[in-house]
Amino acid sequence: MGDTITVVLDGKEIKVEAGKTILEIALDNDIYIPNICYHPNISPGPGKKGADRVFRGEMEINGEAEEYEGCGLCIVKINGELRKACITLAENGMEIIINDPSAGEERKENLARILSNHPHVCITCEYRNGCDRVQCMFGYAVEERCCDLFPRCELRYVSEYIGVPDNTSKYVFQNLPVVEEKMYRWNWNLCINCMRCVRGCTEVREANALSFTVVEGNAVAGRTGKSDVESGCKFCGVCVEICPTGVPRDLKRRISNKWRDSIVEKKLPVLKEVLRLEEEFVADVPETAGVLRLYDENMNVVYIKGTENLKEEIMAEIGRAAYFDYEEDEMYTMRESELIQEFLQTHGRMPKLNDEVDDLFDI
Amino acid sequence: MVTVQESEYWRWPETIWVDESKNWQDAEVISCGIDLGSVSTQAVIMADGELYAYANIRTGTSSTASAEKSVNAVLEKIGDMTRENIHYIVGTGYGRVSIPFANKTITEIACHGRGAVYVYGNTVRTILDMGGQDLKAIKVDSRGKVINFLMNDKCAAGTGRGIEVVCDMLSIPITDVGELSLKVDEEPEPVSTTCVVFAKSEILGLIRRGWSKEMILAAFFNAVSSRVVELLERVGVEPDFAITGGISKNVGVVRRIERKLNLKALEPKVDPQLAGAIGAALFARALYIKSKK
Repeated sequence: MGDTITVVLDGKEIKVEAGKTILEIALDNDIYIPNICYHPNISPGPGKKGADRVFRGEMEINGEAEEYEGCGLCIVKINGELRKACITLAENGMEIIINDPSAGEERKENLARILSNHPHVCITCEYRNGCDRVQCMFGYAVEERCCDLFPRCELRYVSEYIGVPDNTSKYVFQNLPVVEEKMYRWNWNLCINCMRCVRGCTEVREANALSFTVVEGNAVAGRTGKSDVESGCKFCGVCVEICPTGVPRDLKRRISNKWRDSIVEKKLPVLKEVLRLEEEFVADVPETAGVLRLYDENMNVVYIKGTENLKEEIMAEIGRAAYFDYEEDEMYTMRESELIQEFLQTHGRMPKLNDEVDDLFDI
Repeated sequence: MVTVQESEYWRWPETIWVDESKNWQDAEVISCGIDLGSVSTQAVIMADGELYAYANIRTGTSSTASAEKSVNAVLEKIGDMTRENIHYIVGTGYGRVSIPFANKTITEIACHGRGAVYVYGNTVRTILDMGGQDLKAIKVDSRGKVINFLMNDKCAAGTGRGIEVVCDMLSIPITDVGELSLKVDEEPEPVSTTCVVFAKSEILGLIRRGWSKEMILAAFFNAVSSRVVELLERVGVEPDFAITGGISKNVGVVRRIERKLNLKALEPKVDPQLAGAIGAALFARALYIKSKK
């Protein structure tokens, strides 16, 4: 057992075990600090050393074997100083402010830099929820749009949480290599160079088939050899599991193995405030049309329903779930379909309580 | 004197039907499903879970009035049935909330899945619902329970309304465009967009260039089918495959989808435009029986 120390996180005193980073402590305590290059299965990104060259298919990229700086999204104010939460070990008495304005500004700047090199029009689109994303009504080219992983894209959640900065420059399609290998397809156009795959490859499977090099100050990920075999790939698929966007994808079906299955699902930010499903909170809900969502104790959506009268409908739901939220929307039947569609694509099934018509099938 | 000729080539025929071989009074449960869509409204009466009568009419400016009209039309056709004889009514479709006399509303996704299994049999796994203003690809299990679905409700490109607009432009009745579009020797390149607004100007250009109506329709339906095939591939097509909604009656679109998927669509047992309302009526029956237990 390590020593117990006390830190002050957003004004709240928290007793923690020594030896953990600020980011780990926050996430353990259900306090969210934005992050993208962090993943619980691997060591923090900043400070990792690269190689002097990497490959993206036949393309050879030469650079310096320098250090990776990190995504810079987890910047917080610690004892009055801006620091990365993912590599700062907690010390007794540390005072941490997560949403300090100057930290927020830096975070936004770093996010703008990440997004300017990654297709993102769909993230900012008003109509993102009701769209099949096959045909774009605004006429954006396929290359500029988000990929098919959009409904569960980690980068999207983090971007929506932080808010896409106004000064984000337009993404310009670079026509980077799309490499088809025996097992995986690497679409390097989607890469945000967070080096999660690199660390997954070297730390989880110890294959060293992926690395990065620093070109003019920018870290660039790639294979350590021209092909999967040449780079020493062991085909574990950890890179596919750990990538926050959609660069490596299974060409065939997903093949399960212990390395791959060990990669945990990351905690994503909760984008909306939810309220306890109790009378005193429901009392403030307007009596207008809209869509309500119910959540269980673990904050999983269990029910989505459109209604003409939000307050009345939510009142009737008391006791069926732990939390709720709602959106006012005149076109609530449509909005309801949109939210169910999004849920289905993220989870591969209907929300639990929406399945209540289930018993009507056998009558 | 100038005479203005009104042409309404988009007008598809309304149908009202009753199964005269049956007597509804023999049935234990009379259930009703109403699918209030953006372009059409269907009211279906089922006797013990079997299709007994239906009305398929155009949706007017008032959703509530359209719902009323559809039920009244089907009751009138039956003759001796009144609203009181119906045990349970379920409303569905985008306008489902504007059906004040419905006992319950259920989402159109659930109703379409359930209804498609009735219309096409329980081997159907992938359903393409081509409606008036949106397209939905739905995957179901053998009971018609929805496993996955994908739709676009933000853009009417390639939907029923779009086809109505093209019919009017070419002055061809909507019931004929499908057949006509197949009378081409060689399939033309698809029009570059299925967007109702842009396709309109592109088609005007083709008319000026002297393209035949058949060729224009072929080019348009070629584009429409490409768009839906992309949508289908996104959810994954698993046979058997079926198409519901108004456009399922357009052979020009259906054949082209089949060609692109290399998969034959199932033949419907009843009018596939009724799928949503049939699903609603089946749920209505189950809900009634459940309430009596």
